[in-house]
Amino acid sequence: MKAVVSTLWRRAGSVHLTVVLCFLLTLDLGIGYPVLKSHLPTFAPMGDVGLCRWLLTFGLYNLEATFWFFALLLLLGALAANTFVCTTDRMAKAARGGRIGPSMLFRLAPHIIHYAVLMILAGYFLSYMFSASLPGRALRPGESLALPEGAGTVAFVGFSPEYAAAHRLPVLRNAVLYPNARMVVARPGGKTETRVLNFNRPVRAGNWTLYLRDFSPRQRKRGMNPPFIETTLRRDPSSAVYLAGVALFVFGLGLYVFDRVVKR
Amino acid sequence: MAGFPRTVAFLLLLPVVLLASACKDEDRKSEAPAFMSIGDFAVTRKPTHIEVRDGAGRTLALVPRGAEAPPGFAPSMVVRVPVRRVVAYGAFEVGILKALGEIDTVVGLTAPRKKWFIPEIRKGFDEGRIAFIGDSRNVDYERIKEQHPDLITTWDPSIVPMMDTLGIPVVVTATPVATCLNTRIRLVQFLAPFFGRDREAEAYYQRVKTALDAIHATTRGLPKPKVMWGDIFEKRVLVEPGNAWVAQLVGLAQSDYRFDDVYGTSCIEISTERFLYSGNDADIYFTYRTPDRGATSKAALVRTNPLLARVKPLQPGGRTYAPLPHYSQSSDRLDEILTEISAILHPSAYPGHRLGFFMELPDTDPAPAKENPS
Repeated sequence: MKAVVSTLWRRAGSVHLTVVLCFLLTLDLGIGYPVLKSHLPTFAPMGDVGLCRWLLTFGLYNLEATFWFFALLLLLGALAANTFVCTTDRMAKAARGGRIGPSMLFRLAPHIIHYAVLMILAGYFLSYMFSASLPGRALRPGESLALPEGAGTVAFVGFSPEYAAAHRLPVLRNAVLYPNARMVVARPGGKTETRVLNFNRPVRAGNWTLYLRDFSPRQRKRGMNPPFIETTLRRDPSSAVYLAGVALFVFGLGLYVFDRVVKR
Repeated sequence: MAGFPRTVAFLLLLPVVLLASACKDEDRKSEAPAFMSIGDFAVTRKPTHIEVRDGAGRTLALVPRGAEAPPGFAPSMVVRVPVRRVVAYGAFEVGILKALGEIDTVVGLTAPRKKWFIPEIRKGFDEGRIAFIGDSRNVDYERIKEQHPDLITTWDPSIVPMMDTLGIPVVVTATPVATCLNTRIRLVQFLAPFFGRDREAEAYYQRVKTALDAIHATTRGLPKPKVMWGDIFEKRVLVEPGNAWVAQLVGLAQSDYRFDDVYGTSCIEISTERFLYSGNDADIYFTYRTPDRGATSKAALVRTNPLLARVKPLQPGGRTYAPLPHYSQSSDRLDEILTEISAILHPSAYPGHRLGFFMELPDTDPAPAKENPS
């Protein structure tokens, strides 16, 4: 039994398997890309409903468009396992071969980077698995939104838009580049803070994060639409895993570069 | 000692395996939910209620009258079915309601009586059952409340907070990007559960699908005309993108849509140069404007913006088509509309077809009749 486990372990960490998996991933993504492009509405809800529910609904009921995605998950899972086994083996060998100290830390840098990539992948996976999303929360100036679980309220005060100067692209002249939606976050204790919401600048309130999805008006003097913002509320407890992975990656990369460039 | 890292590795891998196996939900434990996705929309049938995902990504629960609402849904996210009173923003939804046999549920509209061509709607206004709730961009909330609707169907998600306050459920029937042909013909299946009219929805869908199959068969192998769909207004150029249902219909009917590379929302803004470039060699042009909004002739369109004169279909002898005012209210006859668009693209394949939803624009407006001095 021990021999079987040992053989399985060795094969799971094989570099040959890595090459095969990378080839299969390329093939799968090559097939998946045009399918994804022609079935975007099937994939769009994944971020809102979560990976599990998406797989069981949109995924299973549209297999002609999603078959490659199921294969992608399996292949990514296999690549993650392969990377983990391979890195763990090599790390164990490296740890056995030298004294504990700074020089060993530098030798382990590539393995730290591998573990960091796995953490980033796991963070994304957990995020799609366990994050909660409440899309379609629209607000007009003066209106407020109650955060779930009594986490407070977020009120939309108004816009402080920045317009495109558009000297080179006249079509963008007077278009709103940054809506700068002014939000007031009121926490349960009565504390209030004013924040600015933009497409790449969400507003955090406790465990929840408010993302901008749409807004109006988009032009300086086009006042036909009433002013409003459409937002999505998300709670993503696994973002810490992803961020920790990024931090570990930077740490490992720093060690590697220092060892290879600075020390020589 | 050598087994130690492997044991640690196994323990670390275990949660990943458990996570994968945890990918189940309660529905799966009991019985698989009947699920249907229609573009961005979705319908999930549960034992006690139906959950629908609307165009804004919101999930509403359709609960039979008198039954207990499922947990986790705010009161304004629970729709009591069958719905009996509807305020509708879009003419397309009104046409769908007619196809479902539920036109009498309409109690509020964002266009006044004089703009409607559906006899049941005009009659509803005359009887006082239907109210004009104000322009869609500036509705009268008090008037909506007075109509006591069970549901509001709208393309405008900005009304949701106010309707939440009033306790009126809202379903958003538009999506951030233009709806594709498949979604257009199947939206009826999304609206049907609100009224318990699944059978009528299926009949409607089959009717339209048969028309599409016929279009595909009739136009197969024919030469491809180049088609554009949009408008130059005073300061803006708006077109239907390549992902819109009209673009996909043009492609299905063996034609070349000139804005196939444009992606985004319906009536998307593009540059004037791009519009004119595509118009240089287009064969057929569909304008958004109806005759009562100025599309009475090619010369009339050119007067709106002289740049349009460079678009080939707007030159003498070119083929330009404008929708008739009742076109947007005729979604109950979507099969006929699709067939008519195909007939416009390939007149030789539809000999004797008479236009009912579009008109071909003459070069100039007919001269006004001289007044009789007597």
